[in-house]
Amino acid sequence: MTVAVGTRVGAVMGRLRRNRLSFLGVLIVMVLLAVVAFGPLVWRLDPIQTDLADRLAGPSLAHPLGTDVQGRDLLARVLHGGRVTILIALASVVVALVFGSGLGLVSGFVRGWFDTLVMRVVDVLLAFPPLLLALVIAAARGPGIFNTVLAVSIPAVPRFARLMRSQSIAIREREYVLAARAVGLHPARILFRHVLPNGIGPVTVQASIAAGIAILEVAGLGFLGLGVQPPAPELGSILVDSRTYLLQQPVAVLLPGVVISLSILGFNLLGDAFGDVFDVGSGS
Amino acid sequence: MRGLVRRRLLLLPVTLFGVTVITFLAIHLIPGDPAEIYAGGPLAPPEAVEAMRARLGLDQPLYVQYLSYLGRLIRGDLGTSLFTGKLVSTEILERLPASLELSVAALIVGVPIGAALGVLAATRRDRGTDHLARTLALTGLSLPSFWLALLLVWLFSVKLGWFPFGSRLPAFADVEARSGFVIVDSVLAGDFGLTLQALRHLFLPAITLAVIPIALTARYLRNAFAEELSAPYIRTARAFGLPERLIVWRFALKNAMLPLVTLLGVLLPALLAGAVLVEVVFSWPGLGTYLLLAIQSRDYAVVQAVTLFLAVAYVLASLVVDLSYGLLDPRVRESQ
Amino acid sequence: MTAPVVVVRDLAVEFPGDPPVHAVRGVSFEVQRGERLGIVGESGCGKSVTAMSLLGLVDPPGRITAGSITVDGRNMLTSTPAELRALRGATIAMIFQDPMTSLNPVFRIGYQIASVLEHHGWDDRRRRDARVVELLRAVGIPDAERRVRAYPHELSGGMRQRVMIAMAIANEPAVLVADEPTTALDVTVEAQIVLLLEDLADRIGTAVVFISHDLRLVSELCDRVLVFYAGRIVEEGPIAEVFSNARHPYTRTLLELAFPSQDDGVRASIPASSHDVARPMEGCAFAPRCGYRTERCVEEPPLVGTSTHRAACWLEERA
Repeated sequence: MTVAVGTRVGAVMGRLRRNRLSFLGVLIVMVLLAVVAFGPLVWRLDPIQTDLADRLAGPSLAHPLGTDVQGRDLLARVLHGGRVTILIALASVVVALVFGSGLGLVSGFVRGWFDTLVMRVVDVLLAFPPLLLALVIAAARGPGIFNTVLAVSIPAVPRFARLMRSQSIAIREREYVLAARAVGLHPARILFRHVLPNGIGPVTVQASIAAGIAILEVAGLGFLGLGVQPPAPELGSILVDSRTYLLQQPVAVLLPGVVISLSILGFNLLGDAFGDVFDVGSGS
Repeated sequence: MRGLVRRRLLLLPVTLFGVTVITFLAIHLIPGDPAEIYAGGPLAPPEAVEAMRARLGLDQPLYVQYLSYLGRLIRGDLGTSLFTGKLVSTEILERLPASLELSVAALIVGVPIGAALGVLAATRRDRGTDHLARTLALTGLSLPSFWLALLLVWLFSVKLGWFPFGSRLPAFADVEARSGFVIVDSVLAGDFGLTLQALRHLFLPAITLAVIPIALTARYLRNAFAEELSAPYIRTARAFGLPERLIVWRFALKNAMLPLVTLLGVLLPALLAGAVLVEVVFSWPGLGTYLLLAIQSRDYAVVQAVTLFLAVAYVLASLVVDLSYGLLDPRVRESQ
Repeated sequence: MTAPVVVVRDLAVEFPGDPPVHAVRGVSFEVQRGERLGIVGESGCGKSVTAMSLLGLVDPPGRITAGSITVDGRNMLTSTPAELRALRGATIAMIFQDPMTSLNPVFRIGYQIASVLEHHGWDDRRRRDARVVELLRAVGIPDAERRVRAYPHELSGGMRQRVMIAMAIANEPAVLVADEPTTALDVTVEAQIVLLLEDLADRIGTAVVFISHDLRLVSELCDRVLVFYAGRIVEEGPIAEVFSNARHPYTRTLLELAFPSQDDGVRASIPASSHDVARPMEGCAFAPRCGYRTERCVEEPPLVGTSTHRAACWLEERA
């Protein structure tokens, strides 16, 4: 067993190394996650601490990236803000993945009226452009972390549902599932044991892409003032704050955007990498 | 193919119906009492709130409210703006051309550039140019449009002063709105100076928005094209001595372009979404800023109506896209 | 004796890889004007690659690593791309195996044939169009004037192949290379296509290189035959002679499979599996599957025999 796993991982690493772009993506994401996790622990300045005497300062030892209009340390703001943005985005993806995949899995397996109903709802949700739906939900629910997660995860649920459903349908017809059913295994067990592991491939690709979209949406909502509220740092809201002082403190506008772009790029490349590994076509 | 089309047409009313349900329910997702909000807020006197509740029909059971909502929709009544008191449908129609102008400009600029990049990458498949083009495309898709907009404004408007920003025309300029499209109207009016100004105002937002179609088109066409170039009929053409340029730009391209229509289906939602953010940064007077202002001023009727409008537009556009694919491919056309 | 229209000397084609694949290893042959030459062998023996090389078209990343190819006096390996393009479709033409995928599905067949004409000098549109109809008639497509506007998917397999043939003979080439032209077609249509090729070759005086794994077809159409195995020619000679008196064990195997005999003294052994092109070559490539193998076979045998009929087998040496 371990030998099989070992060779599989070896093959994966080999393929990754050959496709340098995908490898870069994996690297970016890992570095990002590390910075998000450990950054604020290393650089311990408080992002919310204002210091009106030291506004819009240039780079210095105390503040390597300078300060913003309220004297808050920019490096801390970006680090914490990045953490908030990415964590919210990832949380939303996880929520959407769990709900969507679960729904799709069951739907594809049992078919019948349940399946039809679920698919109609999915169609309707997919009729809204994702950002628009997120915007409306955020607008209706108001600002705050929970509402942002809600706003970003709901548009993503139908895509996971559809994906898992088609996996479910395809695999349930395969012989070993028919055999399992003939033997009388409980459907839930069949679902988990057989259908789920095979569907993992496309789901990881979709999840990576969804992560990229989610980051964009969280930052976008923050930018529009609909997401995480100040003074809590979040990359999008930092951007909109810094906008007016663009000339005096360009770093405050450049850096958050670079972090957002890199994260999205990293997850997109990760999605391509997963696509290679699991032999799935590249996502749209 | 025909079966698929018929199925989509049958599903259409169901989907549209579902969309109306969701937009209807959206209002009721709001924490707090809509009647209170419309009556003026938490400080409004209780009688005013109750009067507003009766006026808005909020004391009726939910399904009755939905039916009257549906009834109003069918009559074309999208509600009244809390903020301005005008009919939302009128306001949407007023602001629609601005958004369309922006989206169309982004498409006109973006698709050809993206196509050229994609074809270039495909002809040099797996070599340096290909990898570079694909990375650039992916990076383009990863850039947040609002950030890019900020950067472009900073560079071209503030620092270099080459392009203005905010609104479609210079202050105090105006033109008779015959089509609603400023560029078209100014040409019709013979005021070419104004056309130029309008184009200058359009330039930055259009470029910002165009990044998405450039990237998506490049990616799509690169894959489609690379696939076509390894098709057997290409080998035949080479075997008969036909020049490479003809083979690439005529024979292969036509095959690769056919499913381009489906690409439009992908571009639409991306553009719609991106447009909102870009409009906000550039203060472009389109549906996006309209929506945002409504959200900020809690003008829920407007939010509801605009969302409904955009969703319906998207659904109908996707349907048209799917249908036209069937018309374009001669193989599919025959089987109809 | 006029000069042969095709001369191939020591051709070698290699596909990079780990290990590299030597698709063609030292092939030499000639095609006389008007001659019908058959090339037979199993999949992967190098016959298609050789055919493509005749047009100077080797699928990258494969490359010609050695040898020379001369078509109608022109050295294909030193010609410029422009010169090669002028030759293809005019002096030497090729028809491929699957006409459905070999024709462009989104252009009408008339346009496709006209393109070939246009790029070989037929500038006058009306003459071109007339020529297209004439060609379609010549290959036996009924209602040619209307069919000009058809798309490939509207025609049957046999008709599509006729369209390919029409494109090939459009400029009355000196050599026509047919790579498995009937493999994708029904048996009934096969015979018609072969007859058509024969007829056209007679009329135009084209030499035909007919590649197939079907020995029956080859025996009907061709005057001479080359037997390929593992990138080399293992036997060559006039059809009648080779087929009645095969000198290479592999040829005998092929003949046995194609024309099974009722009563037979010596039964050729059926090969267990076809040749693995990735295997490094040492000695006679057929040896592992050969019933007559000896210790001598660790060394690659040269082609020996008479001036017209030769085989690459140590057994020949004794004769």
